[in-house]
Amino acid sequence: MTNALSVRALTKKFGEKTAVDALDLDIRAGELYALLGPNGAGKTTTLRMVTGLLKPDSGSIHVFGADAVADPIAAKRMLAWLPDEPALYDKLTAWEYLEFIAGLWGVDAKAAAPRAEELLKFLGLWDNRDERTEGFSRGMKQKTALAGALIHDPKLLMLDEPLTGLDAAVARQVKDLLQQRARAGGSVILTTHILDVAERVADRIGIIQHGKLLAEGTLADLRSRAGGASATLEDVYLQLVGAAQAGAL
Amino acid sequence: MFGPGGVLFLLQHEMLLTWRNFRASGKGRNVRRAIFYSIVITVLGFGGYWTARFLSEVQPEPTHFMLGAVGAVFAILFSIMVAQALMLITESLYQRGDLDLLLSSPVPPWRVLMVRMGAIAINVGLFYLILATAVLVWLPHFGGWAWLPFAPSIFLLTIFSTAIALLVARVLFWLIGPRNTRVVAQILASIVGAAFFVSTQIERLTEDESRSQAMAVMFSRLVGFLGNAANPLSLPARAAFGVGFDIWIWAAVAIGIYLAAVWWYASGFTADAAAISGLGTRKRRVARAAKPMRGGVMATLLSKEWRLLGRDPLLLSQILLQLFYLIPLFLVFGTRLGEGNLNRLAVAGFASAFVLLVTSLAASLAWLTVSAEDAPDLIASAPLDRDQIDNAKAIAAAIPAVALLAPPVLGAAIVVSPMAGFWLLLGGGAAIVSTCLIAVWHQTPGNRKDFRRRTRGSLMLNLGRSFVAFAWIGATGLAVSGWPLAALIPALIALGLLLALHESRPRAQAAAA
Repeated sequence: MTNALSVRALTKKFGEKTAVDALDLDIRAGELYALLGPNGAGKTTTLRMVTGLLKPDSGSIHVFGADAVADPIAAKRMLAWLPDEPALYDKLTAWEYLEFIAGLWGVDAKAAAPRAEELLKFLGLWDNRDERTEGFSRGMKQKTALAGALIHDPKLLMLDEPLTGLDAAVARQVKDLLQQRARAGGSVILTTHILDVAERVADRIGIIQHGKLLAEGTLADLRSRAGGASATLEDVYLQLVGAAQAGAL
Repeated sequence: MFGPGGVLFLLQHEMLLTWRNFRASGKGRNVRRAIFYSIVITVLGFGGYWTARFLSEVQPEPTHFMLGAVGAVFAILFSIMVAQALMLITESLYQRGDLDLLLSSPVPPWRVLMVRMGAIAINVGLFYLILATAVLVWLPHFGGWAWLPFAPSIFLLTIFSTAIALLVARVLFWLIGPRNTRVVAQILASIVGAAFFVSTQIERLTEDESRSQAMAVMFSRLVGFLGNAANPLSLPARAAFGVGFDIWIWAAVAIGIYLAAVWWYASGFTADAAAISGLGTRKRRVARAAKPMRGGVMATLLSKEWRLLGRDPLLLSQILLQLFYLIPLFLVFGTRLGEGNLNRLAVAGFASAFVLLVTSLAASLAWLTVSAEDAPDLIASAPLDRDQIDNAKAIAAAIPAVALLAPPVLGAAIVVSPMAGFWLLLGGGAAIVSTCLIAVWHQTPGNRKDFRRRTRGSLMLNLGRSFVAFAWIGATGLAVSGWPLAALIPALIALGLLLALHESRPRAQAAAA
């Protein structure tokens, strides 16, 4: 079965600093994958390269078999990217924003409207659909951006810190939506620093530091690596990251 | 007053921020800055020296002419200062910055306001005071003591202008509310600030005078009006000449009105600030059924760009204000067309001016649509060619400019000759297309809020852009006036420059193309 995302020897440098260092990563179809790591570990840079926003220095990226470096448009058709600070158009309403995204991804208008309605209703934004987003709270903006990411029904959804700054109720809605999406066969990759989120929703977890994958697997796999079935993800994470930091020193 | 939260403490904070903003606005290395400031100081020093030397040979007598001349200069300065102050006052409320922080602190709101308005007065008058100082420092050296009262008089004019702007802003808030005040104040400020220029343009065009003649006529009218010492409006000029106690009367009037304006403004300040912060968005009535969606990349991009432009009245007013300066041209063109009073040269002049107008509009819109994208990552992550997106954005900018060109083209075709209309269409169209292409090739990413600063950047690029526009303007003028072959020369220059700009486009754009 083709992987949703296959990354091989992916490298990106910014001047002297190596942000992503010969990274290998596989995300399976229908999987919810959480990428963890401290600030500056290379999580966002990796995802931005997959999305085509950054050009890799070397390595390959395949999205459902499509070469994202050689044919980025084919890969982008299957992708949705939600950055940690989504940029909305202040003067557009939520409905118009979704109309715009649907247009960019070439979704037929007749199919886009019921999809937008379904998403907005699920996310509790239906009554706000004709309001300009400039008046939205952070949570409402995040949900609008999430609806935008889902309007074209992407095969691979990538989210960078999707729960940052959201209140508990909205965070719960987003988590439910992601799990629902994975259950329905969609692939989701998210970066987060909230270990609890990864522990609860992810099928597999990858821990990245200095642009390299330190470990990956299910929570049980990682626990066994940490040497205890009772270990929490936090224990595992701190042990791995701490060891890597000690090694770097 | 001097302690934390005191007037001077707050003023120091304001001036520090102003200085930092000023420093941040001028990019470049310290060496380049040092050279720039050295040149400015040298020019000011020499300019001030020679002006002071000239003035010291003239005795400042408050004759009818001198009083009128100084009064006229003060009147022009007043209009510019009021315009500046009005802009700064409204912006200080809308671009809230640290206003929420200051208002949430235990410092009384009136003190915050007092200091903010004081800083605005300083900002408004600083340029003129620097100019005046450059002259005043030399005056004692040449024995021109009699000119010294000009300094306090100009300073008081600054205070008075800020006070008037405050009153206007408060009246606008009161009459039309916070939502509309920002836009109306901006338009009003531009009209006031450009009043003298626009009136000289009308004079020039209606009387077939040169620019200097028209300015002389307008100036002499002001001199005639303000030269009368019995006219209360000549008070600032009389004060500058040191007539009797006029400087004290002028000080009492300016400071008194300033304090009254601050007091009145302060009385509604907290409420106005709260009203602005609560503006948010105008809630729309939610229809039960969802609106139908549009499909297609081009249609979606065009509607998005036009919606963003149409829903930002502040931005729209800034764009349309550029056109305001050309209103006299439209009026006179329409009048002359009606009278059948258009000669060949006049037609060429009007045609060139219309091309200038549409080029200016296209350049503004193209910057907004192409460079000032609010969500560049979103656009970049869409499964579309960069060219496809850029072209759609450029078309979104070109269509309104072409629409603006249509009436003059029709007018020229019907009243002058079909060929004149054709050449105007061709020249104007070429100028619009060139402008949009340059905007695509040489993108200068920025924020819509920085619209006024959009032309900052490469001097060569700005020059290239201007030369292309002026070449098309020249070509259109020549073709419309019956020399289409001669028009080939500027047209070829425009195309050559366009080619050079295409070849010099940054690598990212070159790779995307």
